[in-house]
Amino acid sequence: MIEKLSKKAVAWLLNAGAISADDCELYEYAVYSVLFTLTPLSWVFIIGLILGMPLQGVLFLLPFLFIRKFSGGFHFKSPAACFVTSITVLTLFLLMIRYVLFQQLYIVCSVAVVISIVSLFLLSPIDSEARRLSLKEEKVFRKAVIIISLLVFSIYVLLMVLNCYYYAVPIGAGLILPAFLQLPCLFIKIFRLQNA
Amino acid sequence: MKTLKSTINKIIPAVTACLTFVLFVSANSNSSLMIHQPKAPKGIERFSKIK
Repeated sequence: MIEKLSKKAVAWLLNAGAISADDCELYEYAVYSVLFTLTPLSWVFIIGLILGMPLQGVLFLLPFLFIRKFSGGFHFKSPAACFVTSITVLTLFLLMIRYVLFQQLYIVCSVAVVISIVSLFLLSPIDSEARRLSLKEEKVFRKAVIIISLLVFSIYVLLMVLNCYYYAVPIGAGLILPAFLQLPCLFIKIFRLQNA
Repeated sequence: MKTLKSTINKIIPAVTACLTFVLFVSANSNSSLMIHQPKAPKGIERFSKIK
């Protein structure tokens, strides 16, 4: 479905003379990336609205998007499996934010945030078969993860100190999720090392 | 119908610019946001600033 839409959009751009025939593959990739990213994100926003926490949904997504872009992590080969898992994981995280806020589990949340930051510093960046990184890219992305994570963590600490838990917890969750999505890669690596 | 067509034609440069920006971001970052990474096409390196 998304692939067909991407092809149609690129054909439209090509017919309009906006892109050259050589660039079709590149722009198909761009349209595909946009549509594939926007669908689960829109879903989270809708779920956030239903749960009465649209702002928390946005605050959760923003740090996640920026960190995940550089940290990398687990990816499914199949788009369908990814789509279902992404929506499930994002919805579960929204429900977890709600639970933490209701139960006032702020210390547990802070411990998870600190562990996630340490994990992000140690494991990032993780590349994938579809996107192999050069040594230079690894260095640059590692720096980017450290800078963004520290910035987000500072905002989290500040909001916690100011007792603004309704904003701090979703931002903390935005730090936990990219670290959580790196764990399967670590397990796969350990499993491969044990079987080597 | 004509007005609709001309309006659509007017947004084409903006759409192309947005998609070019997406290619720039993809070339200069590690991963897609979701749990599926589409295979990056070869020509994407020309958008990369990390040489």
